[in-house]
Amino acid sequence: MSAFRRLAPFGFPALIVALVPMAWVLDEYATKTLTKILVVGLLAVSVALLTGVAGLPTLGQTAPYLVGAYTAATLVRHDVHIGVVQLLAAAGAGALFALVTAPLVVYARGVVVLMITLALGELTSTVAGRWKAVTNGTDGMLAFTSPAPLPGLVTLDTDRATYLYVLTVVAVLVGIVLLVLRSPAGAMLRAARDGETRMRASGHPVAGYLTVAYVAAGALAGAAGALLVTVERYVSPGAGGFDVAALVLLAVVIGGATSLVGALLGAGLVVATRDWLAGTDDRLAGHAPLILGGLFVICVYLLPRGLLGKRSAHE
Amino acid sequence: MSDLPSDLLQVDGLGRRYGDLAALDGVHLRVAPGDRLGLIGPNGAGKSTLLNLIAGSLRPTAGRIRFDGRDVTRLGPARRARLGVGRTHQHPAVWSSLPALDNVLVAGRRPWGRLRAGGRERARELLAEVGLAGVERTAAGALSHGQRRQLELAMALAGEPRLLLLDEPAAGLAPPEVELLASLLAALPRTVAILLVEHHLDLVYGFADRITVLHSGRHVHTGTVPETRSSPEVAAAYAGVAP
Repeated sequence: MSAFRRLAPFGFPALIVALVPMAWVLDEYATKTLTKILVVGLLAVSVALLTGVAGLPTLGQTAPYLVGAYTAATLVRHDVHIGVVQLLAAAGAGALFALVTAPLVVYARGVVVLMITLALGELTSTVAGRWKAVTNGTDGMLAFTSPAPLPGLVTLDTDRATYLYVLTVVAVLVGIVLLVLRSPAGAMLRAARDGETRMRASGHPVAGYLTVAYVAAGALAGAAGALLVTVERYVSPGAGGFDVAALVLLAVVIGGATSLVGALLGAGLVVATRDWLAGTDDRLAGHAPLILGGLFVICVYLLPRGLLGKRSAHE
Repeated sequence: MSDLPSDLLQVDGLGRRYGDLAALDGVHLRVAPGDRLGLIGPNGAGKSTLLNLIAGSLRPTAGRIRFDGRDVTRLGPARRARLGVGRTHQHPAVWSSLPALDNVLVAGRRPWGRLRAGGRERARELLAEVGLAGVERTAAGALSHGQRRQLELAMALAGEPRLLLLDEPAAGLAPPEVELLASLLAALPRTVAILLVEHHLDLVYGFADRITVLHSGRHVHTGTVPETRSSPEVAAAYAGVAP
């Protein structure tokens, strides 16, 4: 076993431990950027779970993300200011959305999945823009009041507190997914991706397994939507538009689609490039799409399986 | 063909057409529990089509399939596998990114993940029985073609089938591997019936109780090994002449 594989289980805890002191090291802008990265990172993890682990390439996780975000924002408007309640409600709404749309997704394969999920994402974004009574249309929904993570705890009034809250949620959720993927359930999902003919020949209900993965990914995306509202205190249809879906898929491809930690790192790279590098350097300002495109081309040629993607047995 | 209540598999008038082409036409077959049936015929005879129809990965355009007294003609492959129909494929189907041991473990799990009796130990035994004791942690994608074929056999056995469909298990194997396969097949318990499709005739003759011969999608002959060896219809089929 290579040293890389031996150390792999420690990669995620090490990353989280390294991120905790950033709350005291970084300035406000960098802290806020890192918080946004974690939110996009959680969304990217849901995309990687489907694309890299389950073999369902998706451009549609922005749909449960938006559903989760609007659910959380609606709760804030109804004076529910407990972070965990917002999270659970948003994750539940994302999961329910996935359960309802699963029959459209889990029987398709390859590019067809990509097109169906793209349509679902665009449809959800359009509905969010038109359904004014619920979403306030293209004006978006404000959710000014900061939540307290749990009843009795202080509210998240500072960027540092918000960062630590988001980091904790992402650590717990991604940690749970990583543990599940290290269990037999993960092996069965990878087997369904590698060869569903053999899975069926062994009596396994492949569509059922993919539905569970799709609903779990919907719950993760919904939870990411709740975190978006906690961080931005606002949600609009644009938060789940095609550009976000493409950005997240780009993050997953760069990070390595088979690796959830890779998806987090990929999200860090693309959001930092978009919001920080291209936002703070005058010479690069306004050129974020160009830089991201270049990054993608370099990655495809030099790291075809991404930063942390698993090499195939033939390589 | 008479129906015996003891028949595990009953195939009646089974046909599969692709437009005007009949890949299989009106085939009848009976397999009793513990039977060893060889299925031979020249290329294009319809052997693999028949196997895929029995396994459920192809739907017939005519006829009926009963397994253990139940009509399974319209059931998909996963449902049939759960009833006890196991199989291997002509091109070995393994899960490349998983280690060999995990391939057998996943194949041996019941739907939604519960391990069968014996679990990990049984999976190790199966790997050893097919000759893959030293490659438990090797990714299946890194195994040779022959090893993948052996691995898929272990995977099929892990599901504890009552009927095992083997689609050319000796194809691409080196002579020592064929010998190992022959001894492995001979050692399988009679609790599992086996339908063996194979071009390696010595292997089939050494293994089967009865042999069915197909030619151009039609049934030509069923008999014991000596009957098959001396059958003029079989000789004609292999000589490329319509019997």
